[in-house]
Amino acid sequence: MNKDVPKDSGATPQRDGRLGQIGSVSLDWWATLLAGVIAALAVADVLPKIPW
Amino acid sequence: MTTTRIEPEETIDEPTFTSRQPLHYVPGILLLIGVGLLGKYAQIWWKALAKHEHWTVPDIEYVLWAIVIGLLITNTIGLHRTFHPGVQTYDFWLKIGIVLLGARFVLGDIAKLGGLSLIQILVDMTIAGTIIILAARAFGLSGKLGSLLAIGTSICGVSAIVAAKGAIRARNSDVGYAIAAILALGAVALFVLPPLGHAIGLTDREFGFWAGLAVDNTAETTATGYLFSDHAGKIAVLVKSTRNALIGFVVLGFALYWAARGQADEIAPGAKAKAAFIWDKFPKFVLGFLAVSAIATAHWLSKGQTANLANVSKWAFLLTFAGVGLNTDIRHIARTGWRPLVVAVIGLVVVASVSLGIVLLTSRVLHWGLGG
Repeated sequence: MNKDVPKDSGATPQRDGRLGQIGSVSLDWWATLLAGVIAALAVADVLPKIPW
Repeated sequence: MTTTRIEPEETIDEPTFTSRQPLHYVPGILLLIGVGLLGKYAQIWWKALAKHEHWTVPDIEYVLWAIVIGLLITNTIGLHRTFHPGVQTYDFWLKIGIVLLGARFVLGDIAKLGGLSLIQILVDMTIAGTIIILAARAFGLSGKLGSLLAIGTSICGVSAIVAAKGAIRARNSDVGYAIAAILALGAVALFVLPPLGHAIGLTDREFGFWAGLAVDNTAETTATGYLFSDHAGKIAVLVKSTRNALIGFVVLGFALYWAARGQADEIAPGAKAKAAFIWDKFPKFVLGFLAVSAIATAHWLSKGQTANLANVSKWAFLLTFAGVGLNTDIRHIARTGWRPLVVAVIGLVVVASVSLGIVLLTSRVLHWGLGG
């Protein structure tokens, strides 16, 4: 599947290092972090009304 | 022989984030949103059309519409490579949806339902796992492919197979076969289980337990549950999360088995190393789900905000359902070859039958409170 992924362009070693650090955090933690922020907004009662 | 270290690259390499350029994700994510919205409104339009024309037709849920529209796109015009990075993020949205779904459960319910499902999972896993390994042997598949299919079918589909890949030193071709077979089964279960559940007359809770136990991949489990009803979807997610939490233990068991035969890296001795191995494989989003549930249990959320979180969760699931359809390439699955698929189909039938038997036994004979 990865063969179809567009190639990176313009990456610098510094940027690669930063991305490497970000990439070392697993998908599970990223999902939990983002959901945690949404939950925190809800606890603070500032999450706008989300219709379904 | 070497000792297994927990290497970051060994932990997760599912195709969720495949590009380092944020902009590469935009077209695919927009497509997920587009297909999801189309699915949601197709349900409304279908209902209105049937009412207008006085047709007596079943109500087709947005879940099914989103999946079918995605399937049609991928298997007719095909998915242009521009969309691939974004479309493959569907697992990310699934996990966000699961974490936020925690707002709809109090911790006491999770402990009760999770405890009930844990017993069922252990029985199901033992019976189904053994039958799949025997079937794989009978069809001449390699021992490791049999192990991967057993892990994928009894625990958590693709994530469990990926987690086991490094630990049992499986060949890439075996991993590819096992993943394709599990995805094919998920697609079949999606369309077969909900009508069967209605035909048998299962309650929402019973069906939720059945889908959570029988369907292998979390995205397909969620879709199968929600296809039956919202409540069944919630229960299916909870049961499946309990199953997911066991990944580390099952992979450790198989890793020890293959290491004892000199065909996998040895796990470092001692309980600490084994605990680190299990923690490494543990799906961390389950902790997020429990944390959000703890917040709801502590009444830190108003009624309106609880509904808000549930709605965000539903939107995240909608993107997941669109992604399930868009990522299911029937030609790719057909290229897998018939033997792994036959073993996987045997696996599905065995797991579905055993888990249905367990659900009916515990619900209607032993009265464990699954019927409500």
